[in-house]
This record gives sequence, C-alpha cells and structure tokens, in this order.
Amino acid sequence: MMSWRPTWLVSPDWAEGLNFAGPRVRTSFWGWALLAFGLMGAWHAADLARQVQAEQEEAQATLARLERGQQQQGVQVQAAAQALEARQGAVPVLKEDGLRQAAQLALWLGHPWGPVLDEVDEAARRSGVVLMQFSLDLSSLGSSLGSSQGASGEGAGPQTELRLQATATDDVTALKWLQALGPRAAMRSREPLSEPYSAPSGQHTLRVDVTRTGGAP
Amino acid sequence: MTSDVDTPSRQPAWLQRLLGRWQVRSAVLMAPAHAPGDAEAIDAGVQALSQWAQAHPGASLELGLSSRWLLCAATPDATTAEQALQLAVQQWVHYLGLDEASLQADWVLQPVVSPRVRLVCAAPRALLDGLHEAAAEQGVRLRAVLPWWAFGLQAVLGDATEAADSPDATDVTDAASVGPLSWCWDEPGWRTCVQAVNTARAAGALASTPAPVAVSGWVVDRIWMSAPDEAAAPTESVMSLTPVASLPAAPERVGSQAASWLLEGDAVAGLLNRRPA
Repeated sequence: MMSWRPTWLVSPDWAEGLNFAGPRVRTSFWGWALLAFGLMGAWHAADLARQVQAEQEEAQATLARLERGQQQQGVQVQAAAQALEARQGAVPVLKEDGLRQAAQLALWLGHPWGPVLDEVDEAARRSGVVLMQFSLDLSSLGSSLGSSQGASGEGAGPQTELRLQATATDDVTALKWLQALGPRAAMRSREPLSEPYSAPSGQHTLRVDVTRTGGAP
Repeated sequence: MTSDVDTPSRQPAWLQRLLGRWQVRSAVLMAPAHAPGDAEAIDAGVQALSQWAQAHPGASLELGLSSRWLLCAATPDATTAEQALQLAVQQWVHYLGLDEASLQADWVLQPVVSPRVRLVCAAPRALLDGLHEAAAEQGVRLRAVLPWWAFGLQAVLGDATEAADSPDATDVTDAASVGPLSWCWDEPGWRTCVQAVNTARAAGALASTPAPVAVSGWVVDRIWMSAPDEAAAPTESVMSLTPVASLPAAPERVGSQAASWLLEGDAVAGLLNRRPA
C-alpha cells in the first residue's frame, strides 16, 4: 500500500538508529526550501545590483554626453563670435585716447632717427667739436601730433625739439657747429669748461648747448 | 551478478573521482558461518572491504551488514535505551551463553527505542573498527553501517500499521489482524525473522469488547535468526513465509575460488534507505 503522505511528512526513520556509523544527515524539506529561497533572494539581489549598475553607467554616459555637448556648444559660440568679428572687419575698435596713444607710438617709431643721428654726427665732425649730449624731447614729438593733425600744406611736420651739448676749442668753432646744424638751431648757453681738456682738434675750453626744432633734417 | 563498478568508463579520472564523491554506493558485507565475534571471519570481512576500497578510492559507501555479523534482540518491554540494552544483554547471556563483560567490551551495542520498535543490535567492535580503518586508508567514506534488513523492517511495519489504521480493518474479531505478523529476510544459509503483535487489537479481542478499541499499531515482539532448515521459529508456519527480501549468494572473487563477501549491485540497491513513499 502506497502512502499518500510525502516523504518529508512521514515519521522519522527509526531504522537509522541502527546505523553503527551514526545517523546520516538528511537535509529536511524546509532546509531545501530555505536554500531555494536563499538562492532566489541572492539571484534577485544580484539582478537588482546589475540593474543599478546599468542605470549608473547609463547616467554616467548621459552626463558625459551632456558635458561634451556643453563644451561643443561653448566652442560653437566662441567660433560664431569669432566669425562675427571676422565679418565685422576684425579690427579692434579704439577710443580716442587709445587712438591718440597708438598714433603717438607710431610717430615715435616712424621718426627718422638714423638720418638725424648721421647729420648731428657729421656736423660735429666737420666743425671740430666733441658731442657730449644728444636728447630728443619725446613730449615735443608727441605734442607735435596735434599740430600735425591740424596742419596742412607744405612745411607741416612734427615740431620736435633736439637738444645737443658739445665742447669746442673756441667761439669760432662753436658758431661753425651752430651753422652746420641749420637755420633752426639756436644756441642756448655758452660756458667755459671747469676742467678744459685737450683733444686732437685742440684744447677744448667751452661747453655749448644748442637746441634745434623741426622734423627730419 | 554484474556490478556497475567494474564497467569500463571513458570518463576522465577527475570526473570519476568527483562522481564517486557525489554518488553514494550501496553494498552488503556478507559473512561466512562463524561463531559470534570470530576473529578469522572478521578479518575476512575487513579484507573484503579493503579490497573494495582499493578499487574505489574516495567513494561514499552505505554498507549493510549481514545478520551473521550481528546479535539482535527485541525488547518490547523496555521504555528507555538503557533498559533495552540491559534486557538485550540478559537475553544474549541467557540464550547464547556470552559473557556480559565481553559483550560490553568487544561489541558495539546499538539500541532503538521508538513507539513501535524497541530492539538492540550488536556488532563486533573489531569488525567496525577494521571496516572504518580499511575505508579511511583509501579515503572511502562510510555513510552507514547497519543491518541490511533494517529499512525493510521499517517499511513492512509501517505498511502493517497503515493497514490497521484503515477504516476497512476495524473488525477486531478478524483473526488475521489480531494475530502476530511475521516477516523474514533471507541471505545464503541464514534467515532473519521478526514478529510483531498488535497489542491494542489483541487486548480488544481478548476482552471481547463489542466496540473497536483504539489502534496503537504493530509493535516488534521478537527477533530471531537461524538457518532456514532449523526449527527455531515460534510457529512452524513462519518458516514457510515468503521472505520480504533475499540476498543472493556471495559471488566468487575474480581469479580465486574464495567468495568475495562484499555484495554490490541491483540486489542491494534500495535496501539501505527508506523506501520511497
């Protein structure tokens, strides 16, 4: 006669009590059930972990895409601004002061320093004086900008002031040097040297200061 | 009898070892006729297991013991394990002439005290120790060492109890359901019989009560072992019973005329576990 009861509901095995090796451990139904539930729980937890991981990776990918898009948008905006500037002439707009300073700087740089120096040096050599000082008043060079802007016609140009100092052997030599510098040269002072010195051109005893206005010689 | 153990396998060695660990094999250790606790017979039994273990290193084995190795006694009056042991020892001293001290020293006593079964079985300590040592040498795991008929007895006793509890068996005047039930298990040259009585029905029948009494089930009343042709049974009819199970003769060892006392195969399968419901 077959029993209708499942094995796990049948009374425990008394025959196992005759086992000289000790009772065999038989996992009960509830033990297997607990194991099954545990495995299902672990599987479910692992599945949830996988889902969370996938969502996190997707969110990170979205964030990376948004950051790239933002960078690209910035680059595009910058490129568009540059393109707009290029279309508008790409010349920086200067105000009046900036323009004046730029013009003054261009004037300084455009002054014919080489010819001026050559002329001064040649005049001193021919006159037999020893050139001691050479200076150019930049303010006068800058101030000449306004007059040059307003001036028109022949003779207009930067009214620079050139200051020269030299030693000479006598008054004749000094006047000859003044004449060699041109009609716009004027003697400002003439003083004897506190310590005269001798040079190939003679005994220098005078110190002469000369100014000359006007642009390039 | 063929054994699946000797069947050549194409499985790799590591897989065979793994399957050997997982798959539990069943075998019955037969025994030659011998006096209880005979050392020569015990050596033969241990040698049989040792040879099997060498051929199956690392295996898991459930081993049934032939009744020739055992002393078994029913103690229906015992209520505790200690009482069952005391009553069993008294029987063996009285009927077999064994010494009580040697029983305690040289035998391992295994009592069972359950509502329907109160009995004690004893196995030689030297046999059990030898079996465990032989198995351990080859890494064989002995999951069970028990009488080969134990689960068979549990099954037939359960069937008898269920039949008695069924509504069709309420007639206490039925002589078949009142009288004792007997079952036998045969092995070559040896028979183990168990007798059970339904005490509640017997009491009801003797008292001639008109109403059925409460059923308490069948209780093991007596166990005895003998050669099949001996007249040691309480009733002559017991010897004509069809055995519940029979073990075949021990096969001859390969290349030898001596018998291999370890019986394995289909005849043993299912004997050492609970019968499926």
